[in-house]
Amino acid sequence: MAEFVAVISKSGEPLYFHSSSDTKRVRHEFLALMALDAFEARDYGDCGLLLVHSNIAVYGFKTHTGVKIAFAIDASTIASPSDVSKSLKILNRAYSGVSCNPFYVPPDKIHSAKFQGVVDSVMNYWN
Amino acid sequence: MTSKPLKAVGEEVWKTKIDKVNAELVALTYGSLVAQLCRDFENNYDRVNEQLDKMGYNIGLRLIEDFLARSGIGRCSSFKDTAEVISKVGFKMFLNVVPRVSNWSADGKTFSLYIDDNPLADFVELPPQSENLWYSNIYCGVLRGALEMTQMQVHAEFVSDVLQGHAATEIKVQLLQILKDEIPAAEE
Repeated sequence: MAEFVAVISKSGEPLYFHSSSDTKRVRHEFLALMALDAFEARDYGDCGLLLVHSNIAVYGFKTHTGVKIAFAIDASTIASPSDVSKSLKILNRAYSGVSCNPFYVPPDKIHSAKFQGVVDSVMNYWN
Repeated sequence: MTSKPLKAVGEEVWKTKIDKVNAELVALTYGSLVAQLCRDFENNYDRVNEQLDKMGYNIGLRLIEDFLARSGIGRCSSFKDTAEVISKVGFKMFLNVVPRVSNWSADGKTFSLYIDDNPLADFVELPPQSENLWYSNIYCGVLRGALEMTQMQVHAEFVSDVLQGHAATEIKVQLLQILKDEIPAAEE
């Protein structure tokens, strides 16, 4: 079960946040903040598992421009590392698509139907 | 007109006579141009369209010389030929796409170009409330400019664009008049 997807800029501003449920949204945002700390200690690229908290596992990917993508699933989900890594790569590609849109000026919030579509399909894959 | 099929002419020119540029470079450069125009005109998209058309027109006036020199294509015998040349040689050699020509009017003076894979529109998602922005309107200007130099006054405009959520990207080209007086005697 997928929990949330977050994209955070280099300086820590939230660019995008999507939570699987409104009731858990606050807790999810909190976890994304916690993930930020974990990101600090990681190198660029696939960061793997960042943290596990209140039965949610947060995985991360950090681009060379410092943009951080966090993806969280229910910690009880049996997830192979390659599957998670694939999802993160898909999200990374989708983000690069967003940043190539001439009408998107970073660090604006991401309001892209295309990006949302990719996020939905990644979340559905895990549900 | 040359005797070779136009498709082959287009392919050959594309393969042998054209310096290639990275497609993303073109798409991103054009994208930042349009985005900047939108900012400069404070999202008055009618003016952005007009400006893109004007830029295209000035490109078309020059591009036609390059087109004729490289393709070696002679005078078209009818407007139908012109449409085929635009699609199979013109678009092919500059953008490596071949738009479909169709939707001819009964009098043979109006046709539509359907661009299935618009290289300018890669990555693009239009901002909200931009229903009257024709993102690739530069095409219309180029067509108008290039055809004017070959004695055809046309009106070109976008009818639909997949970027606007329409099913197809369609440019309607209408022949207004042949500028007879300006045909140089040396042609033909």
